[in-house]
Amino acid sequence: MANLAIASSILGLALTIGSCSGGAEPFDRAAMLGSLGQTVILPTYRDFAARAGELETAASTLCGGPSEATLASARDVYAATREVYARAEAFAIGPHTDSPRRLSPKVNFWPVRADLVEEQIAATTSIDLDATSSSARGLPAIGYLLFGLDGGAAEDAAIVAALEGRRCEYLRALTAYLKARADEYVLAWSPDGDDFAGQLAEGRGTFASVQASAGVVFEQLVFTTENVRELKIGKPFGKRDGGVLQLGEQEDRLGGRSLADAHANVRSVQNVWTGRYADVQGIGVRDWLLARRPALEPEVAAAFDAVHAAFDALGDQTLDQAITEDPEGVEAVYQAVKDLQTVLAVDVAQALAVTVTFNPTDGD
Amino acid sequence: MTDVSDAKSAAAPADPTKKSAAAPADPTKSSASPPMRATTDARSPRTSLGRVRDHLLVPVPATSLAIWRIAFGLLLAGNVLRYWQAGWIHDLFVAPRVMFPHWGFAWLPRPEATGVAILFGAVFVGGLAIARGRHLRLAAAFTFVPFTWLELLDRSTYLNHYYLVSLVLALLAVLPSASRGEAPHERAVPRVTLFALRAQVGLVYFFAGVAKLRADWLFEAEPLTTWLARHTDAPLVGPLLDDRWVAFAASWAGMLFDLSAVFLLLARRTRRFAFAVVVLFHLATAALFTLGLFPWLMMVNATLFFAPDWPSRVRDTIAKRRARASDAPSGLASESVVPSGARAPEGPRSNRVRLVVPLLGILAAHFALQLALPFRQHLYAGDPLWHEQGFRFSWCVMLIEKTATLDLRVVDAEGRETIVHPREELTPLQLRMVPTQPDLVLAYAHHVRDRFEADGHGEVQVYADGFASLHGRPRQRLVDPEVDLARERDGLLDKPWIVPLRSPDTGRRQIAADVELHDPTRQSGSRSRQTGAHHPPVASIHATSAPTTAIPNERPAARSALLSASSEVTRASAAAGGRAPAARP
Repeated sequence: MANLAIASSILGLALTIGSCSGGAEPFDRAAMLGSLGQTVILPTYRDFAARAGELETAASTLCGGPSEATLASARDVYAATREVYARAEAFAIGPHTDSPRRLSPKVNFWPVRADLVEEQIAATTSIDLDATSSSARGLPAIGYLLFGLDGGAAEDAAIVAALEGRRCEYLRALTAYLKARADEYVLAWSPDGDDFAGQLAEGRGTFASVQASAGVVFEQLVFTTENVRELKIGKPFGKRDGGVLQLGEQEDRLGGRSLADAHANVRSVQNVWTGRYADVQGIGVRDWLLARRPALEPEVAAAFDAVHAAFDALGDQTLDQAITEDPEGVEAVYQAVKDLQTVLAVDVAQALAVTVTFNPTDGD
Repeated sequence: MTDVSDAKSAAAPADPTKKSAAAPADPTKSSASPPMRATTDARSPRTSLGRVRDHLLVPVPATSLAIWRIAFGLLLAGNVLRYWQAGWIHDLFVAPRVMFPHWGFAWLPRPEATGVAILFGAVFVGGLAIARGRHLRLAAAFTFVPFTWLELLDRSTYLNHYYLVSLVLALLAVLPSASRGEAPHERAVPRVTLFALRAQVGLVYFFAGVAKLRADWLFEAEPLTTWLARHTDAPLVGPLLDDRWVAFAASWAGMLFDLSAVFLLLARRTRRFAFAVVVLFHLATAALFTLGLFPWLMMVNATLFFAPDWPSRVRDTIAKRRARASDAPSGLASESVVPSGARAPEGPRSNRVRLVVPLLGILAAHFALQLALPFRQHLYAGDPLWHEQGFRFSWCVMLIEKTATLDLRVVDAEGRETIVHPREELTPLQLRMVPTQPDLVLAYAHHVRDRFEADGHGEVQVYADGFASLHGRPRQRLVDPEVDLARERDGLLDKPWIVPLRSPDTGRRQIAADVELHDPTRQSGSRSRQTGAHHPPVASIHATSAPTTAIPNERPAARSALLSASSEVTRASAAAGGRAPAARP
């Protein structure tokens, strides 16, 4: 009974003090999520759709008048399309991974299977990309048709020469298919379509609650960072294979953008972190951290800076070149991304009370 | 663990030594209701042990146990359905490419998908059989085997309440069950059955309270501060959950509740109130945290502390009220009420208890072990919340919020280095548990060692590369990265390769310090000094001399947001009291 009295007294005292003290309003995660949807996610996918449209046009121009100039132009648009798509990696959730849309394997399943692409080109049946292997469609397949396997000037001439008939038809179909999928991303996230942005902000539909939405967004930041380190840099670098290089295991070896894509992925993480995209400033995960543990923010900012510095130090090299000619530089990138992952997954996750997990099993 | 008041209300005498060997209240029924074995012990010398034994073997009504048993069995069966519906049977027991059996149980066969389904099916059937109550001991033993088998397969799935379920099943398998053949309200069990179950449940509460007597829990309100902050979007109470005083109040109330619950439940005067608190407490935890079976199990278990004939009393009371409401003559009402076991003139019929001495010996050994196990964590140097040695099977319930990362660095005989990322082969649950628990890090390292050696890499060395943070403390190494875990043995001895927890201060203290540092009124301190002294950038180790950022426009925005937000946090955290920042180790 004494214990009960003590407990009741303490609880009553605490309630009294608490009711008098009034606290600061807790950070509004729903507002953050809503801002991310409108400021970062939807604009990024709209940009992707615009670039995909430009790529469709460029492919049509290339096929209408194959030349090294139109090829170069198409390649530039391809690179721009990849860049903006890579900047969507940090929110590759919802329609990207979930059925029925599950757009990821329709847009960027890598590495490309050249043999399967050639099979499709050699076939006599009508082109049906929905029924085509994921390894023979999407950006990697377009990259294969634009860059070939070997690269170099002689290859460019051969590519231009080969761009006719069914090969061009397949390229056109690939770019049209990509544009349609890009439009699907926009539709899925916009209020006029599936309204994933609204679901995310309000914690409904795919997302069980605002808390769950915030958790998913944060986990995707960590996952993207880890993916860049392990899969996109570490695997080709031989980190997972006893130092034996796996240069074929790159995201865009043919287009030479593997390194640039990885860097764009980190920028994508930073966009969600800061809540900023294309000079429009919204509310980001960083603001959440500032409300809970401000001293950590400079550490995260420094980790981002270190990653950018490490990437920038590699200049315009492809990942192939960097791995063979500047392995220390690649190692620096690997370690910098690892450090960024560590501070996000360990310190920031604690500060934000976000559990980095994917399975809501019981606890006690 | 037995409430004397219960015994007074039960049909059996409170102290069999004062009455002649627990003679039945109604001698005319004695031939039909043979006294328990305990009655024969009246012939034995009245030693202390004999008196204890007699006391424990006094029959008490079995109606409360019947209610509890039905609920317990249905909870078990329902839990199987819940696992099946959520896909956890596959995700946790079939899908894993590697599992981490509890220490000493590596020999336990890991069943394939069909075997797992059979084990879960057996638990389901067993739960229903327990609820039905016939052949209870057999049903409990039948359920214990598959349930415990599943639990022992993988340390990463360990939960305190599943351990409790295993213990309760084991107790049910050896404890005398209710007599058979009579009407339900007339059945009885020896008091030892109720005593043992109450003791088991009481130990959970008590040691869960003892485990909360830690600085982090009491003086930092961690991990509740962190956990409650997840629910700031909850309706009505959401904004309160981000306030420190709420976390403190909840921490202290939780500790006091755990320490006192069993005593308040045992005492007749406080029992109803305590039960109401138990229900409210567990409903609150069920609403706030993902605890699955735990709150419901503990609410059901709390009913064990009521008088053993409480269902009969409740039924009597309801019947009397109905009779009054219908203006029926009181005599009719009393006739319409089935006499409870506690009030039945013949008293509850007792069952036979064989092997009394071995049973009491087993129980004594069991509870001695139960009393000792929770303390073993203190045999290891350092903070058990950090090293987690001796942490399982100790009722350390809801005490830790730890985050961690882990890579394994494998060096083969030729010096080639491979980085193994746990995500490659661990399930999401394992991925969360393994990096935070040193013994699981070791077990995973051994798995990787064996895998590499089986793949023809020869003898390999395995090093852990990761960081962890406990309750917001600065991250630090959890496992010494220079120690070859492939050569370390798993066991109960202290693990010297666990890096001791360096910072005594949780993140909460640091937040208070952060707020001081970021207070706009103290802007004379340079930003670099603030960050340099407190949180050296992690990337500084690998920083290059290249230009700093590719997105220059974002940094000034970051700074302005930092300053504008810091003032709000100053207000929010000032009440918690600022303390000096801890230096990052």
